[in-house]
Amino acid sequence: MPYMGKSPQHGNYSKIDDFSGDFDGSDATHALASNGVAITPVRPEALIISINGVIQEPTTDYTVSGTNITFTTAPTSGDNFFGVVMGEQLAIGTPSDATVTSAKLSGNLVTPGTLDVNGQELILDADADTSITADTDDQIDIKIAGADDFQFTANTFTAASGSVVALDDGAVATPALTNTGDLNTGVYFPAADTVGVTAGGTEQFRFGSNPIPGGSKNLVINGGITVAQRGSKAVTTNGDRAPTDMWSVMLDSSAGRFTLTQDSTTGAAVPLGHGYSLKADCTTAEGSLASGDVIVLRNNIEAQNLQHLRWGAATAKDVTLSFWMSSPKSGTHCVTLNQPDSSSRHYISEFTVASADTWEHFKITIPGDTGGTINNDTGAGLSINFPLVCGSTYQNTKDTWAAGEDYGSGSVQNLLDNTANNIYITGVQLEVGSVATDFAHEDIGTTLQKCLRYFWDPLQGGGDTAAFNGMQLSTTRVQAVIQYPVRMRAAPTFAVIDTGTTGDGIQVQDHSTAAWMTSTSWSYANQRMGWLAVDWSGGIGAAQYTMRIYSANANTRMQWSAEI
Amino acid sequence: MKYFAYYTTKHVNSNLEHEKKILYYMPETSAKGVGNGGQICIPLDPNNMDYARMMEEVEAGTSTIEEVDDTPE
Repeated sequence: MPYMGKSPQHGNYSKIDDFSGDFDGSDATHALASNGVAITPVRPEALIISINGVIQEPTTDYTVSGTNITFTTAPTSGDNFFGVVMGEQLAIGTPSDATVTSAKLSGNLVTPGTLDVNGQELILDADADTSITADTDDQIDIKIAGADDFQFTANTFTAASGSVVALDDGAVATPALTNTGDLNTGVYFPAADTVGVTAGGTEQFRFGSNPIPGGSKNLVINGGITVAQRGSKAVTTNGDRAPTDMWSVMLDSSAGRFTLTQDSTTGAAVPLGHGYSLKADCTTAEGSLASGDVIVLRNNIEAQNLQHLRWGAATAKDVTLSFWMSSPKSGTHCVTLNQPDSSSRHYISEFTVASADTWEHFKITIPGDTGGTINNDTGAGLSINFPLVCGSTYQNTKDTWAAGEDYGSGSVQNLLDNTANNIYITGVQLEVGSVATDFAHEDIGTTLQKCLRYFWDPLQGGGDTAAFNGMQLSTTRVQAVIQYPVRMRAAPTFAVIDTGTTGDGIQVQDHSTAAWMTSTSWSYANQRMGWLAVDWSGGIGAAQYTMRIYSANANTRMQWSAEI
Repeated sequence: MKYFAYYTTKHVNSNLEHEKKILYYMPETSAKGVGNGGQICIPLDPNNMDYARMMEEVEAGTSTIEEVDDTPE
């Protein structure tokens, strides 16, 4: 009679092939098969086993393992056997659609092929508010705590508003943000509130503790030695100015003498990227260094340009000095920062020259001076000093800010002990922060404009004559109002530099007649202008002309100096 | 070292009272009359390094200043 409705489900029962012919009283294990096909019982209870008409108790009288049955007591020859298998491990086939629930799954899941979630949300956490979704075509949304924080689209990764991409600090040679083709170039984070940019494994500049300043990053004017309004200069006295603007000499007692020039020797004498250097050519050796002997090459920096260093405060900023130098000696050298406003506080740094008479680049970081003082005025707030000669009176401990006018450590060397010695310096840069960045090459027009605040020579190292128009006041005097190219640091000193050689000097001339200057007057000078009067002994007629005041040739110079 | 301080005088009121005003300073070595050589004129400005150095020397007793009337005739 046919069944109404669904057919009853039958177990997978079958008779086990008789293997009693193998009974021998010693072999307890026998292969299970049904109709010649090996069978694998799920457990002993899935079998009904009879020996000599006695039903055997599962587990006690026999066990199963794979396709074998093992009797506790091996049946003997002649024992009767029959058996039935009531179920074995079977393939369950393909479940019907929508019939397998999550509860049917357990353990680690491995898909044998592609897992296509077809735009459904892939929930990742227990409370179901963190997930990955691609419900918009070609877009992956990453939801964290219920909010879409990040999104991928073709070639683009987007952090939503309020979300951040946080990187590890990285290092100079392994920046945190880099590219696959150049792993030592990129961005890293050397300290709190600081971002460093590296190229080729070397830090090039830094934001934060070493900010990129709004103006020139180099606090040194004419550090590239590009401007030299004076000619070459034989140094004989303290305060002598170098031919290169902004550079001067501090000399005390020493017999050492030298000639300073703006050197433009190409090739080995000028470091790559610098066209000029300051050369000190020893002309008189300091052969017997006394304690009080000292000679330093100096660059003063105007105090009001240094207020952002915050020296004297707890937030005093570090500075880094870098420069090129070729020294006649290898070994330990010194360079010193001095604060004139702080009773000559100083910080002595050592650096080591590897090879004599070879250009080398040096980088030195000096900590901000929390105990220092830099007045907000037009005086010298900081000076960079390269000692050429430094007796014990001017020596002190290195690597610390201390009171006193000192320029070298106990290891400082005498660089003027032989007239064969030449010292070259260029590329001098002092910048805020603890990283020496590339030298800020400045166009010469800009550097010259800066230098003119401190010194003005209308000939500016070349040309034939400097000339001004003046009003004749008498038969022996003409007066001109001199207005400087830029507002100078202070009312300048006026100097006529004259070799005294016949034919050199200042001349005045009316419409027809010239005369040699006998004296000058420099009155009512201020930072913008002054009155220059030139006298002569006679030979020019009545006072009725506009006259010319001029230097006869390049040997005669008219100079205005407001240097520090 | 000696410095010369060149000054001028001018009427400052209707009573013909005069005021003396320093115009500039010159080191003796380059002062007027020394010859047609180099000359240096230092203004009266405390911020001028040459002036400041001169005053330090005067204060230290190593230099003196002598005033010279340079009033135009």
